Amino acid sequence: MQFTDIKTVIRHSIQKNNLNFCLECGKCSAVCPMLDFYGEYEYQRSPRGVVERLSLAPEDIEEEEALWYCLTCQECTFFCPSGVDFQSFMMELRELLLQRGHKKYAVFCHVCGEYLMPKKEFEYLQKDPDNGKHLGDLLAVCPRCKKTGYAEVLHRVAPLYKRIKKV
Amino acid sequence: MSLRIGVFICHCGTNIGGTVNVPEVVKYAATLPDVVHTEGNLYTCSEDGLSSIRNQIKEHYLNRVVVASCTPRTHEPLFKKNCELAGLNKYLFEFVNLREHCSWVHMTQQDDATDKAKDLVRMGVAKVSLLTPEEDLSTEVLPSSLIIGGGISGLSAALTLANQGYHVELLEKSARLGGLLRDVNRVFPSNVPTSDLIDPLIHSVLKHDNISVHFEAELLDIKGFIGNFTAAIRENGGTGELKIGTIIVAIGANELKPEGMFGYHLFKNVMTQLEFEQQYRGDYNGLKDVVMINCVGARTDEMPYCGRFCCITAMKNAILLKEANPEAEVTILQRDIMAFGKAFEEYYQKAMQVGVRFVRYTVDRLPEIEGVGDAANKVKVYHELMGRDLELNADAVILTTPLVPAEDNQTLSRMMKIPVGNEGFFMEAHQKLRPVEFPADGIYIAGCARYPTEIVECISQGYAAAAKAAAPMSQGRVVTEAFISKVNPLSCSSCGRCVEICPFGAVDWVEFRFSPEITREVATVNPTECKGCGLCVASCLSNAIQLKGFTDEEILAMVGTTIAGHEFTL
Repeated sequence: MQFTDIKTVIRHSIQKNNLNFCLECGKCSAVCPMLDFYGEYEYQRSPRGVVERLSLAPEDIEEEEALWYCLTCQECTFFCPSGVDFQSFMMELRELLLQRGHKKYAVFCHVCGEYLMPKKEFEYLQKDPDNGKHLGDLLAVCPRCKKTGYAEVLHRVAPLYKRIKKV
Repeated sequence: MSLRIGVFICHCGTNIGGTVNVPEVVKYAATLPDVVHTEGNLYTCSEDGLSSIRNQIKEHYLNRVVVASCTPRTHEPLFKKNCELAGLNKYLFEFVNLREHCSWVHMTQQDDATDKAKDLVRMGVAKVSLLTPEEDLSTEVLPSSLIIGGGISGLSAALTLANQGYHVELLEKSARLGGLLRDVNRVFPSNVPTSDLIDPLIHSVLKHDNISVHFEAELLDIKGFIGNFTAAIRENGGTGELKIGTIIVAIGANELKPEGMFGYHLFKNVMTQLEFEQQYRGDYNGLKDVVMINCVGARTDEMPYCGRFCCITAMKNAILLKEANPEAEVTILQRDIMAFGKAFEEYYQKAMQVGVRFVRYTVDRLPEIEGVGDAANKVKVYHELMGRDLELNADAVILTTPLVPAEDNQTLSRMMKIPVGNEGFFMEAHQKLRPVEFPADGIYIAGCARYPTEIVECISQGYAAAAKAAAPMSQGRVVTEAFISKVNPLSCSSCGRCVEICPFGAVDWVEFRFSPEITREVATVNPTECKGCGLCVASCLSNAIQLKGFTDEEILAMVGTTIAGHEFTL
C-alpha cells in the first residue's frame, strides 16, 4: 500500500474493514479470549474500544498500545453482527506501523524476519512456566507467518490456544 | 292493542342446552303475563329458527319478541332484521343472554342455572312489554368536504376526494401550499429535492375543478354535525361561510425551536436541522467539521415523546454533507437511533458506509458547546464507555429537534370538541382500529397533527382520511339508531355535567322558553351525534335525561321482577 498521509491510510482501512458499521453491541468484547489472558483487560483494549477510539481519533494510533493486544484469532470477526473485520484491520495497522518504524510493542519474528509478534503476548508467555514446552513454537510463528501457511507448527500450537480460550 | 309476546329460547347446541334445562324454561315462560307463544330451538340463529320467528309473528299476531340465546354483540342485528322482515318494528325486540351470562358461567350448577335462566327470561319479558316502536333517524350528508391545512397530508386527501367527485374546500393558513415540507431541502431515502415531490401535487390541486383553495384563511368557528357542518372563515379581509358534510383536520406540526439549549441563538452557527437546510440549500460544500446533536428537546421529562424521524433527518443531512465533501468530518451525537420502516435501516447503513460517525451521549452529561465570539468552534461530549470527554471541532452545530404540536390544536379542539392527548397532539378514536377518525362522526385526522409522521405515512393517512370521509358522502345519508338520549328541558338544572362528559360532543346548550317571559339555556342532545352510550344519563343529577330502550322505567321493571312480589315504580 502506497501511503502518503497516515490519517488517509487509516481512514481507508476503516472503510475497507467496515469499522464504520460498529453498533457498539459489545459482542466482540464478550468473545475476546484476551479477557482471560491479560489482567488489565478493559474497554480501551477490547475490539470495541479500539474500533471506537480509532474511528474517532485515527491520529492517536502511534501511541496505541491496545493494537498489540490482539491475538488475531478472528473470534470477534465471526460474531460481529455488522460485519466488522477487526482482525484484518489490526493486521493492516500493525504492518503500517512497522513500515513507519514503530517497533516499540513488537517482537522480531525469526521465521519471516519481520516485527509482527506482539510484545505483550511474548512477555506473558515467557512468564508462564506451563507454557515452556510450546513457547519456542509459538514465538517462532508471528501472525503473518500463521497466515502464510505454517500448518505444521500451527498444529502443535493449537492446543495452547485452546487452553488460553478455556481459562 | 293488547300485548302479545313471543319467547324463543335457544339450546345453542349443548352450549345452553347442556347446562340449562331449556324445556323447563320454555314451559315456565308460557306462564308469564302476556306471553302467547313460547318455543325452544336447537339454533335460533339458523334459517329454521329465524323462519319460525317470522311464521309465529304472523300466526300469533306477536307484537313483542324475546330471544334468549347468546350475545347481542354478534346476533342482535340478525334478529332485529328478522323481526323487520316479518313486519314487526325492530325496536320491539329484546335480547336475553343465556349463554355468556348463564350457562357458561354456571356449568357445574345445572339446577341453579335453570332457575337463573328463568329469572333472566322473566326480566326480558318485563322489559319488552314496556318497549315502544321507534324509527331510525336519518340525515342528509352534503357531498363536500372541508380540509384544514394544505400540507402534504391535506393535499393528498384533497386530491383523493376531488378525484372521487366530491367538492373540497381547502383551507390554508399561509399564502402558499406545501406546508412544512416547503422548508425541507431534500427527502430521504432517495435524496430527491422536495420540489420534485410536492410541486406536481400542488399544481394538480390548484387546477382541479372540484377543489377551491382558500389562502391566508382563518377558521373562526364550526357548527353542526356530520352531513351539515357550517364553517365560518376569514379570508381576504372579509368573512365567509362554508357548508360542508365532512371535515379533515390536517394542520400539521412545527419544528421545536430549542431556545436556551446548546447555545442556540447564542452562537450564529448553532441551528436546527430545518434552519440548516434553508441556509445551505443545495450547497453543502463550505463546511468541514459538523457536529449534530440528536434528541434535543425530545425524550425529556417535559417532552417525553420521540420525534420518530429526526434521526433519519440528521442522517440525511450528514450523508449530503459527506457526498458534497468527502473530507468533511460529520459526527452525530445520539442517544439511540430510530431507523424504522421501509429502507430506513439501509439508509442508516449507508450513513455509516459514507463515514458518518455516531457517538452516543448520555442525558446526565450533555454535550457542551464552546465558542469564540458569536461562533461555536468546539463540542465537548462525554464518551461513557471510554470514560472521558472527547473534543470535536465544529464549523457548525446542528440540533435535531422533534416536531411539536401546532398552537392551533387547542383552539380547534375546543371548536370542534375533538380530543387532544397529553403531548398536545390530536388523539384518534382508537389507536389501532380507528387511526384516522375522531370519536365524533364526520371529522377525520391525517398527518403530523396526530403525531410526528414521515412523508409516506402522511400521504397514506391523507388517503385513509379521504376514504373515510367519502363513505358517508357517497351514501348521501347517515342512519343512526333510535336508542339515543333525550333531555327533558323542564327537569334540566343547566349544571353542564352532561355537556362536559359526552365523548362525542353531542350534548350542547340551547335556549329554552319556559314561559313567554322566562327563557334559560338547557342541555340538548343532538340525535345525529348521539351514540347511545348513556354517560349523560348516569351523570345527570336532576334525572332529566333518559336513554331510549334503557329508560328508568324499563330498568326498574327488570329489577323489580327479579324480586318476586316487589314492584319498583318511579
